[in-house]
Amino acid sequence: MEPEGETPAMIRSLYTAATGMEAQQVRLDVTANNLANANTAGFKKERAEFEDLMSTVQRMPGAADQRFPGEPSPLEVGLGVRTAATVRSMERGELINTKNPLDVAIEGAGFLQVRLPGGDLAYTRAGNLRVDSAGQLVTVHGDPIEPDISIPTDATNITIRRDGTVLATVPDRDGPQELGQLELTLFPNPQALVSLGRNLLAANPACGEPLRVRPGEQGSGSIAQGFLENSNVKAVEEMIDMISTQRAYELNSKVIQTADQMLQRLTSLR
Amino acid sequence: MADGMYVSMNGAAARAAQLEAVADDLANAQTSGFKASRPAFATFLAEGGQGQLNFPALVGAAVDLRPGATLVTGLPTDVLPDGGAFLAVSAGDGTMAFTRNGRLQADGHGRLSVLGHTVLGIDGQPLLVPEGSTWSVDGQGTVLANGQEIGRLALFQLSGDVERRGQSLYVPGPNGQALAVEAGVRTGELELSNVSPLAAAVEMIGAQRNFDTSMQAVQTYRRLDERANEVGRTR
Repeated sequence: MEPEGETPAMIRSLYTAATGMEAQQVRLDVTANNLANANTAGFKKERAEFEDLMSTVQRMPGAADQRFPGEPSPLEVGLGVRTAATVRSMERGELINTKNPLDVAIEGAGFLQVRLPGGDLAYTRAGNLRVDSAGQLVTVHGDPIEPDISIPTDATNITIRRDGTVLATVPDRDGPQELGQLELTLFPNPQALVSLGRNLLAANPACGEPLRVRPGEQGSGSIAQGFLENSNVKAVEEMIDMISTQRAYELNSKVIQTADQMLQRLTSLR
Repeated sequence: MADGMYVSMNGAAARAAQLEAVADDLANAQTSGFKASRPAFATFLAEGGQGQLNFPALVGAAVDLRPGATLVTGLPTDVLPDGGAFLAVSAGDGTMAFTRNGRLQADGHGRLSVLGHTVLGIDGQPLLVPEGSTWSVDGQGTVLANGQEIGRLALFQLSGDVERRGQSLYVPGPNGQALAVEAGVRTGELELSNVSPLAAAVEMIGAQRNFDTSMQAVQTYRRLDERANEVGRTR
């Protein structure tokens, strides 16, 4: 995007303002995605993080300028902004009481593991689980939960305890039977998880070593059966963000107009 | 040709550079911890020229260290050092740099960092949080992981010259220094950019008008020169 080599100041202003407009576009994209997912179970809002670009040092600090004797200060003008990252907020969403025995919410840190068709693991906070035709505990998309939990189709009174133990009453057996154990994964840096869509997040080296624990252990959250964690998007915050994004975009476009008018004025000299 | 034309030209060039600084400030109106730059102008006398002509020029860009607006995020890992103090981070080349962007994250190795730069504790070492622990920062800048103290954020006050390093990082300039200070932090708050869109917009209009005036002066000098040529014409 940046022009090569030395460019006149006004042209540089054009490019600098363009970086500002680009950044605001990214910010709007993020806001739009957050708002669209305001009611997606387990969705975690994102926020675009910006960083200023390296400055052009027009005069090195300490370099003497014969026009101005004395202590020189550096003359550096920045070249605008770029999107450094989108950071996922792991703030907890509101818990909604669904009374559905296969809905689980994680009251604290941690993710449920989901096995993808290729065998890789993905992670989710969306606890709207189902039992598929084979009796396997799966996500709404039919991807099995890891470790496998089989619930016989004729099982009743499914109970999921706070520590993740899954119990159910099975015909011909006395009392509730233990069918499996939900586990959670903790990451040193969960903000670095990458979205795969379908409420799934994928791990990468920046997240650190995953740590598999039983719910409630080692700082992980416990399981709340019959509840769903709603998205943590707050519509009012997003609307305010959207307004300020639009205004910032406009201001940056005004800089482009101004630089353009100044260039026009310059070319009309002759 | 009249020297005044060159004075005007210098004026116009200085205003164009000022616009560049405004463009950069406005582009960073949403960058956490960004500090606006304030271009400074001075006049100089031409070497060997007529003594009464003052040429304007942009001579430096100071960093405005005033605090920016605060965003309340409620996250126990977002910090805002009190009293304008800066967090110390390790810059890419191993040197220390300073930032007001307090969005702390644990990286893949459990080290606290801000946008990929490792944050330093008061002992000058990275702050390591144990795997899988939930951590937070208290009002004294102490980092707690699972209730255990693992270190304290190093806080510095910058004074004198400040240079920009990009990525919201600042370092003291040749005439500046960074002093370790005892300061508290506010948790759950983030500092936004200290660029005032209003002030920047006004500065932009001012720069443009001044530029136009200088350009007008250049044109006037040109007409004067033309007139002078006509006076000397014999025919």
